[in-house]
Amino acid sequence: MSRDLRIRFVLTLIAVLLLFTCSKPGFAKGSSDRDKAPHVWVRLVSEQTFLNPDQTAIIGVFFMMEKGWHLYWKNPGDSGLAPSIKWILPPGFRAEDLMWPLPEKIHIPSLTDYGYRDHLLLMAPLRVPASLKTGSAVTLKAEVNWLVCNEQCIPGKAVLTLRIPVEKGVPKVPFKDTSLFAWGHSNLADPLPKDWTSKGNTTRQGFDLNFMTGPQKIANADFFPLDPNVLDNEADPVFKGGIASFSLGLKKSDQLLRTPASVRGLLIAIDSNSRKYGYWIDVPIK
Amino acid sequence: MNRTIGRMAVLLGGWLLMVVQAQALTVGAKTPDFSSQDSNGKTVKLSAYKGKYVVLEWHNQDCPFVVSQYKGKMEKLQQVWTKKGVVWFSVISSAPSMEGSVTPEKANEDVKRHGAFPTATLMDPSGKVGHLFGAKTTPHMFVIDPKGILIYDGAIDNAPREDAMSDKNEDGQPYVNYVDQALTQAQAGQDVTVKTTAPYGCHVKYKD
Repeated sequence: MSRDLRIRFVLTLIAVLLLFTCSKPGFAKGSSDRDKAPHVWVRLVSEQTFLNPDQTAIIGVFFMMEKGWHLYWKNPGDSGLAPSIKWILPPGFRAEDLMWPLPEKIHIPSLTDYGYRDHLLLMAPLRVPASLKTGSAVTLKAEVNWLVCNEQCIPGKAVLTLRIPVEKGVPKVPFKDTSLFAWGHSNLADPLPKDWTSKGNTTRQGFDLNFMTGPQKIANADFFPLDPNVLDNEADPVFKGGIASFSLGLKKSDQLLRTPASVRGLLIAIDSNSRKYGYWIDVPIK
Repeated sequence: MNRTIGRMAVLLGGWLLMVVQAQALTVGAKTPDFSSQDSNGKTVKLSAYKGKYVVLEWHNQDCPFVVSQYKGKMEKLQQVWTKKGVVWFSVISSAPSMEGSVTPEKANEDVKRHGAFPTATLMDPSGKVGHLFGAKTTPHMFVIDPKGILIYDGAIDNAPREDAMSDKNEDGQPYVNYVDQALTQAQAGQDVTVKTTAPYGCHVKYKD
C-alpha cells in the first residue's frame, strides 16, 4: 500500500513536471507533443532522447486524468471504449502493438469496467529502419482517440507530434523520463512462468482455470478477460488455493452462446507478500 | 436447531440463486415480460406485442455515443423499420438526477427535436427493465422476434468511433448496423449471422 502511494506520489510529480513546467508556448495546436482535452492531459513521449538506426525503441502516449475520471483497458468490460492510437510515421518506421499496462476493475452501479485511473502510459515498440541517416531528425506523429468517463463519458482526441534526433551511440534516457518508463515497464504483464502449467474446464457457472505453480506460493488471484462477452464482468473470480496450485472459478457471460476454445486474458497473481504479478494467459477449455 | 436454520438458509439461498440465474437472458431464449410507463403515461406491456418484431434501444440523450447516432443514423433506422411494422422502444434507465434522466415531457421534446420515430419512449428510472435485460450501455440494442425470442443482443453497429454517416468503420471494415442486419435477415427467414456483440458506449446510469 505504502509502495503504491509512493509510486502515485512520484508519478504525480513526474506528471506535473512533464505537463506543466515544460509547456512550450508558441506551439500551434496539432504540432505539439502535448495537449489538454476535457479531463485529460496527453503527451507523446519517447523513452530515449535520440533514436539509433536499426533498433527497436519505445514510444508512448502518457495520459493524466483529472481525479474521478478513468480511461479503459483493451477490453473495456461492461461499458466504455479503449483508447486508440494511429501512428503516422516516416517511411520505414513501424509501430508494433500497444503494450497495455495492468488495468484495475472499476465498479459502477450494476456494472464493472476495466481501466485506469489517474495515469496511463500506453507504450509501443517502434522499429527504426536501418537505412536511417544519423545526424538527422524525424517527426513521429500520433492521432490519439479516447473515451474518458466518470459518471459522464466524454470522447476526446489529440494529434501529437514529437521531433526526435537520429544519432549513433548509446541512446540516452532523460532523467525525468527514467522513472516514467521504468514505471511503465514494471506495470506490464509477462508470459506465464515456464515452470507453471495451466488447464481449463467448463463448470455449471462457467469455467475453472487450474494452475500448477511450482514453488511459488500464490495467496490470491484475479482475472481480466481479453475477449468481451465471455465472462460476467461483475462476478469476482473464486480463488481456491492448493499445495503448489490454485484454481480460479469464472462465471460466464449471459451473452456467451458457445463454449470458447480457450479463455484468454490477464491473470493477476498475488503472492503471500502481497506482491502482484500480471501474466498473459490463453488456457484451452476442455 | 441453529444448524437446521443455517442449512435451510443455504438451501433457500441456493434456490434464490437458481431463480435469478433462470432469468439470465441469452439470445435464443424467450424474453421475460415487463410493463413500463411510457413518456405519455401509457402502460406498455411487452407481451402485448407478440406477433411483431420488437427493438429495445437503451437511450441517454446526453451520452456522446447516443448523440452521434442521433445525427441521422438512428432516426432513419427507426423510421425504416417502424414503417415495416416493427415496434421500437427507446428505454431510459438513468436514475433520477443522473445523466440522461429526463421528465416525460422532455423525453417527448427530444424525440420531436431529433425527428426520431420510436413507437414509444419507456421511462425506467428504477432500472427495472434495464436490469431485466442486462442493458449495459447507451446505446445497447435488443431485437425480439414475433415469438418473443431474443435474436440480437449487443452494439448498434461496428463503428464506435465514427460519427459521420460513413460506409466504413475506423478499421476500414465495411459499416455494419447489427440491428438492421438482424431484422433484415430474420424477416427474410434467414438465421441472424451476428447474434451478440459487445455493446459499446456510456454505461447505463443505474441507481444500484
